[in-house]
Amino acid sequence: MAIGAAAIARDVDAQTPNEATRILEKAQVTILGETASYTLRMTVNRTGKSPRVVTMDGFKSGDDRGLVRYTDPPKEKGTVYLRRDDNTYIYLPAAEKVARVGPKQTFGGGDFNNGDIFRLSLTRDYEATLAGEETVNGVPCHVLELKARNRGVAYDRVRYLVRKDGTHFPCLAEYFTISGKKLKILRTDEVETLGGRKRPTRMIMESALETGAFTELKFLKIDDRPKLDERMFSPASLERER
Amino acid sequence: MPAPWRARLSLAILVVAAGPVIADDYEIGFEDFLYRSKATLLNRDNVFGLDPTENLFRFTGTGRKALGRFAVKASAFVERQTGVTDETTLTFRQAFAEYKTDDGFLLRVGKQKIAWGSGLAWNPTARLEPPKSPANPGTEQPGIDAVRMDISPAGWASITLVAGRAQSNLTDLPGSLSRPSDPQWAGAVRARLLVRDTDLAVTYLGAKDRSGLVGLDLGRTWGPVALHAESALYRGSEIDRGRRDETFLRIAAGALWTPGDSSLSVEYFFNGEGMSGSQFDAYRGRLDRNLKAARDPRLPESARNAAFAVWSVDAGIPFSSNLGLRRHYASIALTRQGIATDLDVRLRAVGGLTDRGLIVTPGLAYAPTGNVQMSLDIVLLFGPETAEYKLAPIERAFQARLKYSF
Repeated sequence: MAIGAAAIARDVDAQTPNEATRILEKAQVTILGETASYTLRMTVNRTGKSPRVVTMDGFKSGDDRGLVRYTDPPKEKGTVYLRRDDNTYIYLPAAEKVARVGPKQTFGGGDFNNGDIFRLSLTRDYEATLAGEETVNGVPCHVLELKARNRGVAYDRVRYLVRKDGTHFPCLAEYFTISGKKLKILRTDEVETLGGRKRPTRMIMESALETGAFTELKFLKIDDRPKLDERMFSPASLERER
Repeated sequence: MPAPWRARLSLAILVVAAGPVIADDYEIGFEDFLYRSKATLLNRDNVFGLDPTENLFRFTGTGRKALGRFAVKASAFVERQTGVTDETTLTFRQAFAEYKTDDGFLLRVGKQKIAWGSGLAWNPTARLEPPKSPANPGTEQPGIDAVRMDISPAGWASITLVAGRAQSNLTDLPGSLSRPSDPQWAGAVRARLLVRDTDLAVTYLGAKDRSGLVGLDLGRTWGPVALHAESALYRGSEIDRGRRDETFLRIAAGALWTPGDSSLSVEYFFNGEGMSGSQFDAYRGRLDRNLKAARDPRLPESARNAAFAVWSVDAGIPFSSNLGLRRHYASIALTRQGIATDLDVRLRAVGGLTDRGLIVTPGLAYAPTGNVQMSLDIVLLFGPETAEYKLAPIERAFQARLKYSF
């Protein structure tokens, strides 16, 4: 009997990573689909400073193609971020210059980094395991432990919570260094119907290192079926921006 | 047309070009370039005839209107120059029409910027338009009259073809330092590829009456740092007409690191045609000899004129088509955003590694609202009097800008 119970426990352990990956796969497409165009408003908050609000149009194609173009305020209009595979570029209209930037660089001066915005496949970058359950704002959630598959990704370890109610909406994520130091906390909420389906429309990334520092991303418009040409996600396209 | 009316008409054209009626987005603003001049080894006894303070004040305007895949853009300024030269002029930095599609096709006709290359302070492969100042590479440069076509057969590959009238003289200089450019018909083809996470660009540039230039540009991210190397191999010296048949190499290589709200960049520039120490000494000696001869009352007028003509050509070299007189340079730039609400600081330094000349450019940028941007840069020159950068007849310069975006 004891041997049988141990065998069952081993089977559960063996299946847990697959189950975790399955949950993660579902969770990561709840906000944006495989291909999407969207309008986003980013608000960067810092203690003692006025909030900085930027509106942008974004496009994604698969896990490796992303492009974000600032549309407001006028002083920042025309700034473009591009992600293609493992390469990230920025076009700065004032300097009329295209520059490569690192994946861990801050996105737009806020608390998200380029990897958070453009590295869209968590299942590819992280190995997921189920690590129990927790309740967040009264909603039971799966707790997933994500460990980076390589050092090139944005974070070494992520504690990722996904709603158990069948929606698979992500609700909370905590990001850690390899030594276990907590860097950031991400909260996902404001479930609304946008682009024809219900989804979380707000993400708040809070710095665990700087008191009062947090950045809000609010989706204003989402289209899950845009027609996008693969060639718009090319660094050469940024040189044509001017 | 009388000058005042010409100025008013220019202003009217500029306002209309920048106006909200025709533009999707537009901006107006002011620029001021103030120079404190001084006598140097190049400007002995103020032979350039500069006032102690030379000033370029500009009213600027930019407008862009898109109609589907078509767009037009105009960017211009009315400049009031005061000092020895006292005049008002209208200059279009850009004025073009374009047709652009999401599949990577672009056709652009008119005055436009071609600027390419991964170099931050120096771009040895971008020789169709005036070189940017390494002391302040963010300064807006004028474009050239050209036709440009881009084709992207795939997301990882694109080809650019350009035919236009290349210009290469330095801009934004006051008085007699500003030399009229002689545009030269030129053509270029550039293939840009992304191969195994490495940016690769190959450029060929040919001009009328000039041998070709072959450029190779590489860029790659290494951990948190973006690395680049931009090189050009070309025939014919740009600073010494006597070396028309020699082949030269230029390389600008460096790194950009962007942690958080800061950025740090470093770059080394090798200028293969640059003068060695002895060649530079000989150049300065020639300047001195010819200026003395030009002023020597014992010599016949024809000899004095001939000497002055030679001096004039030599003295114009630092302000004409080249990327530097010496061989080894380095630059470092540091920016920090948001040191206070809406306030950014930056510090740039460019140095000649062999003559210890140094240009330091501290700057501030302030954006009190979403529409308003202000910036101030101060250009300071250091080093021994014999250093290349200390030859410039400028003690220091101030560059101020104000933009209002709509």
